[in-house]
Amino acid sequence: MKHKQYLLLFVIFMVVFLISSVVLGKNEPFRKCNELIHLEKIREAYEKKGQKVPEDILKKIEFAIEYSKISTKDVERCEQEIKEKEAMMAKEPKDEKGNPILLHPWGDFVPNPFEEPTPHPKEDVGIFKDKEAAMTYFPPHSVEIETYNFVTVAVTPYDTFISGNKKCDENTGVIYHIGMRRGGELIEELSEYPEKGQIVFESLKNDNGIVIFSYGNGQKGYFDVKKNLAIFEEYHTP
Amino acid sequence: MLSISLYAKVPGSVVNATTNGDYYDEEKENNDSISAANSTPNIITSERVMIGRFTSTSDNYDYYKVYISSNNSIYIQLSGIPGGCDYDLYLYDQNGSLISSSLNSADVGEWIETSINTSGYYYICVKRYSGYSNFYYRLYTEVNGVKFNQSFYIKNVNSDNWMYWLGRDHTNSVSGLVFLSFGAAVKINNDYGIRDLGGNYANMSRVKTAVEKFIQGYNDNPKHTADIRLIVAINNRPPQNYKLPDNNDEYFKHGAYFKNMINSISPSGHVKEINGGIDAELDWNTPTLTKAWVDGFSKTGNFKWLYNFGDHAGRTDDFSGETDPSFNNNWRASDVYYISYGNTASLCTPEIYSQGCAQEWVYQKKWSLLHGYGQYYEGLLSTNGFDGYYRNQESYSAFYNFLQQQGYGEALENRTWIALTWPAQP
Repeated sequence: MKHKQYLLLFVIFMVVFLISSVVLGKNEPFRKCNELIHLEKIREAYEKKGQKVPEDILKKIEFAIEYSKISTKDVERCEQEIKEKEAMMAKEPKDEKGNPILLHPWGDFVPNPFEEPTPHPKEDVGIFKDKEAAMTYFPPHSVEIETYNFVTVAVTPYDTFISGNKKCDENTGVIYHIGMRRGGELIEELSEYPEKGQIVFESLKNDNGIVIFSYGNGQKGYFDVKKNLAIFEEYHTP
Repeated sequence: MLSISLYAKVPGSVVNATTNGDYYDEEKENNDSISAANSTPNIITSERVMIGRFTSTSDNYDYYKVYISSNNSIYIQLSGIPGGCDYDLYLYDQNGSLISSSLNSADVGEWIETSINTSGYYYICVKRYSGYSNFYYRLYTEVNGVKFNQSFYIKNVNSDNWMYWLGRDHTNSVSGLVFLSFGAAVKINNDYGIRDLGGNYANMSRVKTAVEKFIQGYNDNPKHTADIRLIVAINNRPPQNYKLPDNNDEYFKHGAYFKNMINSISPSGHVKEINGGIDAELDWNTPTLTKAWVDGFSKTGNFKWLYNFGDHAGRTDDFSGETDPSFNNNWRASDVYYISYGNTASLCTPEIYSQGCAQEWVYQKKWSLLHGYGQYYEGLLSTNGFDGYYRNQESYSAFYNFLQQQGYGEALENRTWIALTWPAQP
C-alpha cells in the first residue's frame, strides 16, 4: 500500500515536473527582434484607438516571436564571440597609431593578392544585341537608366562591356566596363566618346580579346580587352 | 575619350567615370590649410560628396569648410582610401581647435559623428598619414540629417578577396539593415544559383561562402562596433542566359534553395542576424512568378524574414479607393501587398528614389489599410543620387513627409542606400 502511495506521488511529481518544464520552456525569456518590437508598437496603436488589429499583423507577431526565440541563441553566441574577441584584441600588439595589429582575424580566411580573377571564367561569352540584356546590369531602375541609352552587351571570360550612347547628346557614345582582375580587383569604367555616336557591339575576335563594334554612320572600331582601350579604327588581325 | 579614375583599392575596385551628374565635386588645390579651404568647391553644403587625392608626399592635407548652426550634428565619412595608403580625418572649429578625429590604420576608412553646440564655420581635414596615389578618396558629409547605412550590389561573387574587403571596408559603423544584392536567379545544369551584377555566375554554395567572407571582413575591422542585420537578396529580373524556366514550380524551388542557403549561414560577431531579400520590380517579372519565388522562400525551412526592396511602378495618383488597382506589367495592389506584407514572412523597405516613388508606396499603404490589411515599412532604400535621382536625405524627407501628410506617419528606422559605383559613391 505504502509502495503504491510512493508510486502515485512519484507519478504526480513527474507529471507536474514535465508539465512545468514544457510551460517554462515555452516561456523561456527571449530577446525581442527589432521586427517584433515594431509590430507590437503597431498593435498597440490599433488597440489604443479601439480598432481591430488586422489579421496579417497578428500572424506576423506570432512569426516574429518564433523568429526571436531562434535568433536569441544566435545573438547570445555573437555577443560572447565579441567579448572573447575584444579580450584578445586588447592583448594584440598596437601599431604606431595605437590601433591593434590583427594577428588573429575573425575567421580562417586571409586575403590572397594572387587570387585568380574568378575560379570560373564566364561561360556565356558572346555578343548580345539586346537592350533588355543590357539593362540587366542596371538594377536600380525597372525600365532604363535616365542618362544613357544602352543597347548591346559583350561578354568575355573576365569582362563585361555594355555599349550605347548618351540620351541628351546622341552623338556621344558610351561603354560601361566591368572587369575582374587577379587579387579580387574589380574594374569599373564608364567612358564617354564624344562625336562617335551610338556604339554597337558586333562580334568577338582574337580569342575573345577584341570586341568589334560599329559607331556613328556604320564606321568600325574595336575594344582591346588587354589594353583596356577603345580604338576607333577598323581591326586588322595581326 | 573623357575619363577620370575615381577610386582604386587593390584588391578592391577601380572606378572611372566621365560624368558626375552633379553628384560630387572634386577638391580644388591648393587647400592645404584652414585659410585655403574657403574657395568653392571646398565649401560643403549639408549633404555632399567630395573626391580628392594625394598624389605625392608634398601634398599632405585637404581642408573643406562647412557651416553648421547650433544644436545640429555632423556626420563625416572618408572612404575609398587607396590600397597601401593611410589617410586620417579631423574636424576643427573656426579657431582651429580640434573637435574630433578618426585615426584608423591603413585603408579601412574613417568616420566622425559629433554634435555641434555653436553656430559657425567648421573645417574638415583629410590628412595623408602615409602613402599616396593617383586614385581618389571620397568624403561624404551630412549635417543634421538622418544617417543611412550602406548596402551593396555584388559584382564579384566568386572572389573571396573582394567579398572580404567589401565587409572590412564597409565605410561606417551604423547599425541596421545591410542588403547584399546578388542579382538574378539562374539555373545551370539543374543547379540553382545567381548571376551577379558583374555578370558572374555562382551556385548557392558559392553565395554562402561569399556572404561568410563579407561577415568575416566586417568583423575584422576593429572599428566596426555597430551590429548589422544582413539581408541576402536577389532580384526578380530574368538574366540574358540561364534564366529560370517560366513556371511557378521552378521559381518556387529557387526560392526554397535560396532560403536553405541563408539558413545555413551562421551569424557571427557584429552580424547578428541574417535574413532574405528580394528586389521585386514590377516591370521585370510577372506577379505570378515573383509570388511563386516568395512562396518558395517563405514556406521552406526555418523562420526568416523576407524583405522586399523593389519598386512600385505604374501610378503616382491616389489609387487607394479602388478595389484592386493595376500597375505596370499586370501587377495589382493585392500582388504588391502580398510580397511586401501579406505573406507572413514578408516585410518591406521600399526603394524611394523620387517623389513619385514616395507617392506610390504611401498610396499602397493607404490602399492596404483601407482594405483591412496592414502595410508598414521597416525603413527605406535610397540610391543616393545615382543617375540623377534623390540623394539619401531627399529620399528620406520625401517618404517621411508624404506619409505624415497622408496621415500614415512612420519612424522609418532602417535607412540604407544602394547604388552602382558609377558615378562614385561614398
